[in-house]
Amino acid sequence: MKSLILLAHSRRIRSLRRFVGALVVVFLTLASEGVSGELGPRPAADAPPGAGSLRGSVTLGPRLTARKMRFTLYPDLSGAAPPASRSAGEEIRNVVLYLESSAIGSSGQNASTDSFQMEQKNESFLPHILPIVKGSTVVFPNSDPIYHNVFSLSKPASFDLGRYPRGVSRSVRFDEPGVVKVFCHIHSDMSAVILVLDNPYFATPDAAGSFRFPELPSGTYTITAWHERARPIRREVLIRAGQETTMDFAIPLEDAPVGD
Amino acid sequence: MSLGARLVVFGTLVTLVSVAGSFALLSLEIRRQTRAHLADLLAENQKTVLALQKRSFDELLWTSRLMTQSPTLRAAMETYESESPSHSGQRLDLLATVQTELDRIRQLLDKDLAVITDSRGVLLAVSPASGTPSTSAESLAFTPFVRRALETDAFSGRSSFGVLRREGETYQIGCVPIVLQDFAIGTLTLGTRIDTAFLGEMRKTLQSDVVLTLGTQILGSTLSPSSGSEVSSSEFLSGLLSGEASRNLVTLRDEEFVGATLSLGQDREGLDATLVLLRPLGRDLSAASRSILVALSLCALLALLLAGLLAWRVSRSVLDPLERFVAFVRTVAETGDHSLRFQGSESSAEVRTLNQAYHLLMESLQEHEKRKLTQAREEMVRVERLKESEKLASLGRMLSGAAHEINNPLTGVVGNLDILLRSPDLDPSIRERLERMQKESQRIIGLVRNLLKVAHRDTGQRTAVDLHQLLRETVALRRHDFAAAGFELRLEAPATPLTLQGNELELQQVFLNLINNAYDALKEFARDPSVTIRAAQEEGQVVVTFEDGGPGMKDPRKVFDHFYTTKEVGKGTGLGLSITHAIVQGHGGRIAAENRSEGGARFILVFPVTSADPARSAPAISRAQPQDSSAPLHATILVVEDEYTILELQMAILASVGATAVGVATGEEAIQQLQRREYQLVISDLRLPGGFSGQELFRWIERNRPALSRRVLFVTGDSASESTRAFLEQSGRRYLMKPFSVEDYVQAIRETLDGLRSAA
Repeated sequence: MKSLILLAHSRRIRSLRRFVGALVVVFLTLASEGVSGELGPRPAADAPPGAGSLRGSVTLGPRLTARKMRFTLYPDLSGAAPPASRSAGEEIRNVVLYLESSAIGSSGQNASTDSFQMEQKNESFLPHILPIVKGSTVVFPNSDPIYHNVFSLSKPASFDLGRYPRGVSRSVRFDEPGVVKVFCHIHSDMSAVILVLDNPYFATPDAAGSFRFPELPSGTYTITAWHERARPIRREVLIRAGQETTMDFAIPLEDAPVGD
Repeated sequence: MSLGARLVVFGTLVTLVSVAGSFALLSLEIRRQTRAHLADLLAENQKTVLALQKRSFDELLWTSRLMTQSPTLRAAMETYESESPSHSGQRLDLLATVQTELDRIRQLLDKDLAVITDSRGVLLAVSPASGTPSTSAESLAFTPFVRRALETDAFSGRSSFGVLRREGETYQIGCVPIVLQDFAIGTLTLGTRIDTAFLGEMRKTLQSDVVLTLGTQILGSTLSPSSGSEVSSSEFLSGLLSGEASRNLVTLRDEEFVGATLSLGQDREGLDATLVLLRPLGRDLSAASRSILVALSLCALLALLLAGLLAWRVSRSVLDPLERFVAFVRTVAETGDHSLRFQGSESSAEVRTLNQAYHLLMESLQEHEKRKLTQAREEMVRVERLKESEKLASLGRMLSGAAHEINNPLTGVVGNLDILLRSPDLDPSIRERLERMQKESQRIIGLVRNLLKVAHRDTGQRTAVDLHQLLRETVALRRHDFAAAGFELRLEAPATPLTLQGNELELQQVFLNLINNAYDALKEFARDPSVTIRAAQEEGQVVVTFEDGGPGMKDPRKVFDHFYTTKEVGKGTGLGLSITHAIVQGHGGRIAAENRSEGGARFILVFPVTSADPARSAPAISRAQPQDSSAPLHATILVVEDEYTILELQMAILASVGATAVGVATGEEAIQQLQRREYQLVISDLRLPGGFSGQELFRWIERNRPALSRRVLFVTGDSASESTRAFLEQSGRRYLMKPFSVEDYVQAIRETLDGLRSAA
């Protein structure tokens, strides 16, 4: 709902002509959020008996939520008003927790390799962080009335989808796990991260920072709390059958200039 | 060198000095003003430069930010960061991309240096690329401007500037963060090289010398190397840099600079980089003062000219009259005419004042001279009078002696004649001759008496004087001369005596002087050859007038002045009338001179009349009532007389009147006689030979024969001597003046004896 309010707020300064389109966008956004929200705990149907569960919470340090300066080439497009401070709730959605274990192996083959979408909207990639299982395809539809470009220099997937206008959509399939940073050649402020993972055991905390992996085969896991600006936090965790393990994360952004 | 020339030179010099002084002051003032002006100018410059700098920085900032928008750069940086060496080896292609982008940016912005760091401040790329690729992960993390740029919270445009030294070059840099999705993913630093060319450009633009300092170090300078080195050694920079004031004065090698500072930010170590603008005062000053110097020199020349002219004019107006005055004074000195006066009323005030002072001086000098002269004259008169009185005194003594000597033989002659003429049986022809002898003797007696009178009045003593009698006697003295010259000398005075206290001789001198003057005047010119003297008594005073029919006086007011004379040189001293004046005044009287309306001169003397003292007036034996001299005297009389003739005469007279007389010649003999027997009367000469004078004899008698002391009769030929007179007055004894007639002698004896008898 916060996004709705935000957008409704920004709607005021838009032309009436765009109003309907905006509404559509809101619904779409809600729908996609709903989808991603469902993505998190995705236990395999054929989970071994005696599965345990993992739950926990993530909190973000102030440096990751503080107000930043936004710099834009097109102030009239994004609004002249300075962007409101991102709430911890908004930023926390950019955190991804994922598990690695020999118990599950790289069972990506079995996982759903659905098509994911990364929309170009309001000079932003939506969602900003997109965790996928390797082998999935990501569609990049352009919903803005301007040309966009999608490209990446990252090793796991180097591509340049070229420029394309509104309504056009291009897609990329990601087969290699890793961090793929996506940019727009036209709008330098646009960036997104596609996190290509080995298995479907990943989750995004909710607005309160809680996350849950409901059905996990018992065994030892490595859980990683990932944020694009922070150093990934890795921990070993033992999952016992019929037990729920709790693990909390506090993600700071280490003092960048001072760091090693 | 004349006074005028000196004045001109002096005036010119004074003007020169004052002009030079004012020029120095003015130049100081100009210097001060210029300094202030320069400082202001520099401060203005500084402001402008600061504004320009800010603007250019802002521009740099914005363009830098724009440049950081390069998607390729960002993508490369972001991707490089996520794929850092720890993960999957170095992505040199990404670094190369960053490097390429950076080179492009640097060239586009025409900067000398461009540096990119990642979000930790680790150097990613440097343009122009140095020889070795920055594999060693050089970090600028501690560099203040990078840190500030990365601390986007605290980000502000100004503070992200600074100075970067790299490979021996100094760059003035601006640093901006590269922001992506609200996060600083790195920094872009752009720099302009501060080299000699840059400083030179700056110098040209600001018209000031420029010194670049870092901390206390001099990085670059447009000053000449020598003064530059001095700059580094001098402590002025610290003062200049620490001072809050934007203007400061700096002295470098005797040249003054106005300084202003321009902060460039900090370098890697946090040292302050400062651009110091220095503007030499001298250059601007010399330019400013040259024109003023020319104008001032002209003014000074004009002032000198004017001063010279003025001095010349002053010398003309003051010195010329002064010189005339000096010449005049010289003339006075040469001629000795002190009454000359300088005619300079048209002169300047100074000379007039001088002239007035001179007048005063001369008048006081004349006054002084006059006083001195008067004193000298008075002194001369006093001396003259002293001399005269001395003369008179000696004359008196001489006369006294002479009279005494004459009187003794004369007494003999007169007495013997008397005795002879007493004889009844004388041949008539003999009697006639004897009587003629007696008559002539009487003349001699009168003459001697007169002489003695003169002798007696030598001491200026005041006695009762019969003025009428004195006038008569004086007229008598001169009557013969007047008659001989054919002039008439009239005296109109009452026969009654007019007594006043005075010095007979002095008064007679007064009268004689006036008569002599009249005589001389008549001799000169006689309209009416007569002199009339009138004496009249009126209201307690007596007025005596002398009138002559001569030519009169030239100036009646001056006749009583000392040494005033109209007579030829050698004939008159000019003192006569002044002595006269003094004598009259000495008697409490007044004297005045005037010219008579009918011609001739008139002298008027006024004397106060004092009451006469008859008791003192007649000490001598009166010859009023001659008694019967032939009546017999029955008395024993001692006669003391050293002169034999007179002793014999007295003995004869006494014998003829039937008295018993004993005659002795000395005082000692007289005392022997007095001790031997009784005497009724002692007749003694006052002058006696030997140790015993008449006075001592009288004293002896007073002591030893007091009864006899009243019956002493003195005979003297000299009544003029002071001691004699004093003795006679004191003793109160009768005395008989030689020469005496037989009747006088006998009567004196009788009166002495009778007086005693009647008293008894």
